[in-house]
Amino acid sequence: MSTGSRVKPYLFLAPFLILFVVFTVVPLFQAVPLATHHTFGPDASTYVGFEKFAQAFSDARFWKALRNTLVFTAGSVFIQLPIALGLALMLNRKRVMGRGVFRLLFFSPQLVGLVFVAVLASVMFQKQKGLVNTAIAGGADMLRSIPLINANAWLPTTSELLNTPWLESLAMRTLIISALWMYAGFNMIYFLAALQNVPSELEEAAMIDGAGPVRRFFAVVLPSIRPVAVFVVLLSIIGSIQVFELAYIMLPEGVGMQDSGLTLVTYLFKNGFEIGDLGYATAIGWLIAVILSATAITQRLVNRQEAHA
Amino acid sequence: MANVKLSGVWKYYSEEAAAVQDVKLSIDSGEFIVLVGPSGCGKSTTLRMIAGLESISKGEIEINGKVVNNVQPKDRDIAMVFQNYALYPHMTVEKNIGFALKISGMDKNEIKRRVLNTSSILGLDDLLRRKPGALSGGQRQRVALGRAIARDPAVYLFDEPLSNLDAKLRVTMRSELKALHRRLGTTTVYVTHDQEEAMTLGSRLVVMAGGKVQQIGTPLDVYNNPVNRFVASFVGSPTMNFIEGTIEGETFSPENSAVKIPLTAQIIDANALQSGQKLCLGIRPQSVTLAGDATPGIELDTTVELTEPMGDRVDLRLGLDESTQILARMPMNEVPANGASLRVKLPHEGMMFFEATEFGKRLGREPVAST
Ligand SMILES: Nc1ncnc2c1ncn2[C@@H]1O[C@H](COP(=O)(O)OP(=O)(O)OP(=O)(O)O)[C@@H](O)[C@H]1O
Ligand SMILES: [Mg+2]
Repeated sequence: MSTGSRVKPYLFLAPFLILFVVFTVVPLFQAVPLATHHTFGPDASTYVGFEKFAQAFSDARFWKALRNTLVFTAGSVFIQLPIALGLALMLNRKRVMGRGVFRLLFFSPQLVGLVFVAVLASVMFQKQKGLVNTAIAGGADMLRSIPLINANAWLPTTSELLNTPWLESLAMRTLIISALWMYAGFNMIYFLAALQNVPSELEEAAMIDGAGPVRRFFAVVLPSIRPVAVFVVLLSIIGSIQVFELAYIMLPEGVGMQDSGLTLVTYLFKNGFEIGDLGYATAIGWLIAVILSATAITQRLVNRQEAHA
Repeated sequence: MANVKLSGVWKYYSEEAAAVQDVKLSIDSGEFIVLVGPSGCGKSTTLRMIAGLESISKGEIEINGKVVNNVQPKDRDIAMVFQNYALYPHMTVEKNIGFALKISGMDKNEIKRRVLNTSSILGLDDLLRRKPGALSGGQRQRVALGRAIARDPAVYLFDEPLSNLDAKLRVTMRSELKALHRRLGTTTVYVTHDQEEAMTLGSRLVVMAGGKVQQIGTPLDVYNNPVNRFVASFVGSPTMNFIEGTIEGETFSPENSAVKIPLTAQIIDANALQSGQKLCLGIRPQSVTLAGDATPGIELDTTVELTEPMGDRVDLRLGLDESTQILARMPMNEVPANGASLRVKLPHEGMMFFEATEFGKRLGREPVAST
């Protein structure tokens, strides 16, 4: 082999490698000393050892952000993904009218982009005139008009309903619902692709073997799409732990009232770019990195264990 | 064990074309019925309607005297083996075989007993802990069989179960299937597009084409007495020779050819041939013999155009003239040279006459009543 052909592949890779080194590798190494410094803006800094990490562990706002982020992640995994799978199962049936239309509909948030969806959602969740509260109040009015159930006794008043503080105090719920809108269709496409790869004979064989629809799903379909499902869960967890834009755009001050929607990355951002404490922001970044790595490693361990079982 | 009856069964996938048309078939308890025909002729569709995987557009299917048109597959007491095996990939061989039993709520020990019994019949004992991904094609096929056997159903349904195996294994599995059927005696409906597989396995064949049943009969019956040109050409290997031409008096003149094939009054009579009639003469390559012996037949001078010796026999392409060739399969010690002339005989007994179309009726035979 000539030297030329040995060097060539790296020449082709060079544009990517250079960008990767400059914008990812170098900052990553810089982040090691940065986390051990106290800074005021980019220039003034003093070495403080592991103080920034200690600060995080005794910082109530950090714990709040961590809890919120985990709540959001749980919402993605346990609410959003089952809904995405359900939609995929519905669209995967042979006779669904307008399958393509539904697919496009569920996928469309991806096409218009996160910022657009976030802005739209924040308008919808507003007090008084927001679509969500208006709809809830309207529904409540319908219940009130039904005799005998005495809806007035247990329903909040119309003005209370119209003032439901989605963006202010119920921020996590609002974020989970908005993320559902944003990402369920996207995850559905993964599930749908996996479902379409399950040979129909497999389900037919199970049908003849006497398995009903529920049994067929758990005994045949789910195991067949397991690799994709595991992948989607992992992506979803990693994405959720990094949630930022949605909260930052939708919530007042990016955090809601009394930090009700404060997430880890929002907290990192606030410390780094609003307060100017880059050292603390970097330390939080390292803690997020640890959580993400732990997730990925756990997933690999679980996978390996099951492969041997 | 059960009998199966199809009465005027139709299947429409779309409004214009019927994939299966008016199939009437009565299968006795313990029979090994083979549905055979070219690709797309409706074999799988018919089988899937018996299984309950496909709805029946028109007509009735009975299993053991009970109409099953609206009965779920699981309640039909059938087991099916699919072409691509359809094994549950994440279950071990043992679990695959026992899956249906487990669903039926059978006692654990009884399941174990049945699975072990099945695996010993099929020689799967050492593979019970493996998953399908770690098996060879032949082993997977065996597991698929095992899944059917363990349930001890009233009817087995097979859809081209051997077509993914290599030629040699296919022949082995074929005889194993036959032995298995002899041992279990369970009613079996078997689909294949391979006429040789059909001939060797079936107690009766159902030859299908274009969604219609062409002929039903024992393998020998179908081979010796095909009801039309399609069946004659489909069954038997190599394919029967067909020569299209016209009857002129007592001779048969192949189209676009100067050759005259003299017939006898007896043949004309027996096949109810008429002078001036356009028809198709059929003769199997195996029927053609060397001239010179005493059997009644027509002797012709031919030129050897191609030889394919196979040790015990030789396939010869013989030219009657430039435009008319026939294939002959003969036992032969000495292979003739290309271009040599050879005098051969078409025995009267081996000659069949058909209307000159693809599905042309056999001439001179009462149509055989088929059920
Ligand atoms: N689900 C379906 N929808 C529409 N048409 C179908 C469907 N399944 C089969 N067909 C059509 O019905 C006809 C019969 O198909 P079938 O599968 O029964 O053929 P087959 O005899 O089993 O052929 P092969 O040997 O190729 O398996 C074919 O023309 C096929 O295109
Ligand atoms: Mg088929």
